[in-house]
Amino acid sequence: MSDEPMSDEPMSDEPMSDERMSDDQGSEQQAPEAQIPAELMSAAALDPDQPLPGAAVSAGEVAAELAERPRDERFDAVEPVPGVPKPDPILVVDGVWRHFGGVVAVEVDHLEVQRNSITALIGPNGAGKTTFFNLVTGFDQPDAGEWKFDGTRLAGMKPHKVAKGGMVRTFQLTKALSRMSLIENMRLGATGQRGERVLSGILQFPWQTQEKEITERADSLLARFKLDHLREEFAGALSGGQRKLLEMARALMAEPTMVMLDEPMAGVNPALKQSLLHHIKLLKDEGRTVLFVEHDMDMVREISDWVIVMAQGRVIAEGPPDLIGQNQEVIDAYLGGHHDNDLGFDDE
Amino acid sequence: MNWGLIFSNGLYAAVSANAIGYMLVACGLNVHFGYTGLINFGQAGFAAVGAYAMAITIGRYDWNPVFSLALVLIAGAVLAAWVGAITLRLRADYLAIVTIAVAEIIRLSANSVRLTWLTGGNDGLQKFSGWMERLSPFDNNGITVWKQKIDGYRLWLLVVGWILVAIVSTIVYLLMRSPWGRVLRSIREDEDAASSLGKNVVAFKMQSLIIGGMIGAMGGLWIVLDKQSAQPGDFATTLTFFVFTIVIIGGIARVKGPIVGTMIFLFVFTFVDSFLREATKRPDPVLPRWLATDNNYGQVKYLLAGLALTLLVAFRPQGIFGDKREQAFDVR
Repeated sequence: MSDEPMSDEPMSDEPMSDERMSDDQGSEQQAPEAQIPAELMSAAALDPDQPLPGAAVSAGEVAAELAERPRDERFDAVEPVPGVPKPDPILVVDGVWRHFGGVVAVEVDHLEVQRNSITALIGPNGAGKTTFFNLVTGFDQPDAGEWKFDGTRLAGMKPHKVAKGGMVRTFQLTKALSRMSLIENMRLGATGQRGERVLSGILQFPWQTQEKEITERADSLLARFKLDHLREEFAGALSGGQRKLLEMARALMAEPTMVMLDEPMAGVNPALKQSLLHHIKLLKDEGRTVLFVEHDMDMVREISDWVIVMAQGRVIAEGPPDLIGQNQEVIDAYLGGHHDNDLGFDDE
Repeated sequence: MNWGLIFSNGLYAAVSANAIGYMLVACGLNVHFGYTGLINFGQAGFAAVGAYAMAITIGRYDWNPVFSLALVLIAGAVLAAWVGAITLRLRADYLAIVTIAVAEIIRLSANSVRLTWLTGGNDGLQKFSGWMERLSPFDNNGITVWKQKIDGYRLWLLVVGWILVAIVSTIVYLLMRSPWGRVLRSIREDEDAASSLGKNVVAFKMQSLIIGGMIGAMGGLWIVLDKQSAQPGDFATTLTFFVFTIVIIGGIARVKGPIVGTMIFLFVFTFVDSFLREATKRPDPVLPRWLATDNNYGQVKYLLAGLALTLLVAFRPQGIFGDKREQAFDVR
């Protein structure tokens, strides 16, 4: 902590302070105004120009940006029913089934994801969200089904080809490459590297220029995610939240058209969350499509344009984020087995 | 006690042509296990096909050594491709099981009576190193350095061998610092992460297996060139576990690891061996007879050398060149 008079503003060069920070912030409860969560308001109120940890923008900017939440008009005409067609879908899924023995993991009849949107995939535990991710990205093979990404059939395709095709995913349990430095983690993410062939690898000249470009790009992404001071550290030394950041930054090195984030906020402290939210919004501004699995309803409401709800392997509801909590199917799906969970639906 | 001789024996063993063979076999394993995380328990099999590729083609069929040398590399690559095709789509554990089985199949085949016409069975093959002797520029009497008499042929093997080690190590070094090596390391850390970033994990593992297999085959060749005899007993599973020890002592995924690891390993072994031979010499042995005699010190040798190597690993788990920070992370 520096001479700043605030207790809930972690310095970004303190790598391992997540737990302490989240505790501090939890005690800083204020009445939420409009849709902005308490911790964000307090941070913004204290000093709007103080940069948020992990964000390249000030708390004030993020708060303003999130408060506006401009509606994506493309969704205005979309009817909130499961499997509804979107005006310009980038991902179209048809009849994808996956059973584990007698258990139905995924039975998605039809699903479309709008291009250049932020779509949330929610649902109670065991709804099949992660399995669905695994199927779509080729990490698991469905029993039946077809799906198209940007016009290309992906069924049966190996995961590395899916990734090369522009659909890059992250994992619920982060897969930081522990015994490699952050910068090496980042460089690995770039696709189409000439030095990844044995012969040109031995010789240096075929890949040297490209390596320089990759390193520059990696450095600027690390800076954007406020990880640049840890550049030479092993990824294994990062905290859980920092690993989430690293994984997302690394996925961006592949310059994906669609980013699939599996619980990007799990285990991330509230201050870092705001910056992650900001980064996800930036992805949309850059023209990418985001599909993310999340349990945190505040986050879903803050950044998503559209919400898809899964339960017991099926898509049971779709709709804009502010209305989805009122959907009877959704309430039943959550409350059926998880009566005592706070879902964050109730607006006081 | 002739301490001078004991040290001299140990030091020579650490740099001999036999040591060069071990260095190469270990270097190949380092590519598999150290950099790529492939648990190959059959490195002795790769060494065996390399050794027998030359022993058979020259010893039995009098091939041109150039073709024979090419076949050594091809044999290592083909074995790697075959083992890889079977196992690389499966999880890592299967590679360990299959490789140990394949290495034993190779050794037992070489040992079998049915194949004696080809491999020489238990007696093995000799008379395949003549071309190397003819190439030697050194006088047959060779030189004597500090109690070690090195004949002209072995001196020649030593010179060529060390150049070979330097070339192979340089290639491995260049490869591992390239983006190709980076992909291998990422596969070692987490296969799924690598494929989620568009890397064809199976293809990279296959390339690693083939390159390491070819290096291992050259190592096997050097071991039998030094002995001027190829026998199945040289390629038992103990060879695999010796080179695993070497890689770990030297430092996993370090280019110098296999070289220095081999030197330490063979020095310790030969030092203990020479010491016990001296210390149990009749008529007045230094060691008490209940501990070791001149007939049975061979077993005690393994006991003491094993203890020394265990202590080394216990007090320096990252190996000689390893980075201690790497030990802090639980990788899987």
